[in-house]
Amino acid sequence: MSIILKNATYTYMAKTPFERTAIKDINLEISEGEFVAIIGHTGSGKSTLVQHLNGLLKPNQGMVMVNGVDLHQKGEAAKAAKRRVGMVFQYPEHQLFEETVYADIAFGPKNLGCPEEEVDKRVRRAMEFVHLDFATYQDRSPFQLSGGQMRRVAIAGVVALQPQYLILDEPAAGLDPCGRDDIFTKLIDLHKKTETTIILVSHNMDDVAKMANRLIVMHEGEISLDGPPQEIFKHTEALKAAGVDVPQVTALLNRLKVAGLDIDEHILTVDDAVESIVASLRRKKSC
Amino acid sequence: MNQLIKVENLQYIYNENMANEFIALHDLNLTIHEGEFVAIIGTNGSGKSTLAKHFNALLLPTSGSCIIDGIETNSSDKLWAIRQKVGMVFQNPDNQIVATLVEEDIAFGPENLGVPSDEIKSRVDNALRAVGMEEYRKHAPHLLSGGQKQRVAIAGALAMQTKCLVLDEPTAMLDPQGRLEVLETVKNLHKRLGITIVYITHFMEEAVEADRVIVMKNGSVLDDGAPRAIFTQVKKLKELGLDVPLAAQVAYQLRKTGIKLPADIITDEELVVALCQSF
Ligand SMILES: Nc1ncnc2c1ncn2[C@@H]1O[C@H](COP(=O)(O)OP(=O)(O)OP(=O)(O)O)[C@@H](O)[C@H]1O
Ligand SMILES: Nc1ncnc2c1ncn2[C@@H]1O[C@H](COP(=O)(O)OP(=O)(O)OP(=O)(O)O)[C@@H](O)[C@H]1O
Ligand SMILES: [Mg+2]
Ligand SMILES: [Mg+2]
Repeated sequence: MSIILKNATYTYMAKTPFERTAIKDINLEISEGEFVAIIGHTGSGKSTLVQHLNGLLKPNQGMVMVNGVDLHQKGEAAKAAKRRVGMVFQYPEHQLFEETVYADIAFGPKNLGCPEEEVDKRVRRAMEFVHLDFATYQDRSPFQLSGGQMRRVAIAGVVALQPQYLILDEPAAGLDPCGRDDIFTKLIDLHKKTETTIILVSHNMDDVAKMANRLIVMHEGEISLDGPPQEIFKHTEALKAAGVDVPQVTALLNRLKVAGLDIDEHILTVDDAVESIVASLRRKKSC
Repeated sequence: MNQLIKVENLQYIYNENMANEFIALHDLNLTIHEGEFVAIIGTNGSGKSTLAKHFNALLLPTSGSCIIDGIETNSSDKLWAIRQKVGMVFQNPDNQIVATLVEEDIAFGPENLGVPSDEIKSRVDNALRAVGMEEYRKHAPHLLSGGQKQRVAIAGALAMQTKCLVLDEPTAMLDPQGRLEVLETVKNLHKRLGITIVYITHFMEEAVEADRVIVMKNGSVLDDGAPRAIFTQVKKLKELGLDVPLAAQVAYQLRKTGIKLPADIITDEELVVALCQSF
């Protein structure tokens, strides 16, 4: 099972002076169970691309298939296939609409026809997922929350759908540092435990490098690199062209290497970096 | 130095006297002087945006007071005077655009104030120059990158000739390049034009660039000091659900392994220099 984009091209405001081709002839297959991160410069087409994966945008040319079903064919099969894909939008306030946080998160599962009890269970679980205390927030209006709290509700609403494919467009934007780490830990956990396919759009190399097993780099509407993180980071030139930075840790280690420490600069986590610095200092001392 | 923002015993309650009433700010005291560059950090819901909205009278105190350059915000006839002193820039670059050309967008505020047209022209020129967007004056703002849009939004505030800019997570939606552009622009405005900056962020490496960092928790100010004083308290910040810049974190962990490093490292540069001296 997989999501497939075949020769997909999408143009905004076609045949107007504002015409803009946002993705060009994209071919892509994301298989069940993958943890994919899509990165790229602002305007490179990331949001446009992922909005094709749940049928929200229809390619001007090409097609989208979910589990073998063309999303834009007529009939029940396409509708069912679309329901396999859950999406958290880049601007979450656009996807909140109910009067209470509870109702907002419950909306999806109810719509799927889940019985009351199951709905309740899913709402509670989803709120725990995003670290919103159930008693404190269930009756609050989703529009009367702080920015980061709203984003948490939006994420919870999609997590409660328990989709086979979970797409998150910049889920950590506006979250506090602890919330960021926490969401990512939970996503890794969800991926491991349920084999949910995760597709994450992010500007932040540091966030994605540690968890995705596949990175897709977008550049001017096209896929410029596609592969495991460690592979991708070797393509320094292509990354630079795409306007994507190496992770901060990598950048710091690069500086230390230039300064004379013998360090493996392909490291992606702080703990590994510390270990590597310590080891290299010891080697220096012993010679 | 002139006290530009003076907040005294400020309390703010959302939905006061209703079942869902919520106290977002508790008895808060704070003074920001003209020319300061202040970063505000704090976990989600700690009250940063609520406080910031008091600085240009988008919200008025439930009790206590907020005085902007000598004008108390609770008299509604002073609203325009206050908005000309303090400009706001928000998170979502798309929501802040009102016109189809960059220069019209920037002229929008002063036009509404009835500023004469040749003065508007010079204000727009100056504002565009200050944010480094002169060559985009005839461009359509919605086709700009996120970082460029935010610089246009900043220019719009500058054209109102505000002494103070309040930026509420202006880089949250931007890519690293856009973040850098905005931060550099802000630093420049502060340094060259002496504009007072209040900068809310969840990125600790941005907060390090300020002269002063305010840490909020549950509607109060928990800590207030120079970045070096704040960000060397690694354990405390983590416990609060916040973070420290990468260099401070790495230095902290290295010290724990027994490597001797100064306790006040907060930038990459400082860490590299200190490590080079240790071998
Ligand atoms: N509704 C729209 N109308 C017109 N052009 C659009 C629209 N949405 C996006 N675009 C344009 O299409 C291109 C791709 O945009 P998209 O939002 O997919 O980029 P992105 O990679 O998600 O960027 P960001 O990192 O800023 O979120 C950009 O040039 C953008 O200006
Ligand atoms: N319109 C509103 N009505 C009721 N309560 C609100 C409203 N807006 C915010 N709050 C509450 O006030 C508290 C402070 O919110 P505020 O937006 O100031 O937080 P913040 O520090 O800016 O958080 P974030 O980092 O998520 O942007 C939060 O607990 C929030 O739920
Ligand atoms: Mg996007
Ligand atoms: Mg806020």
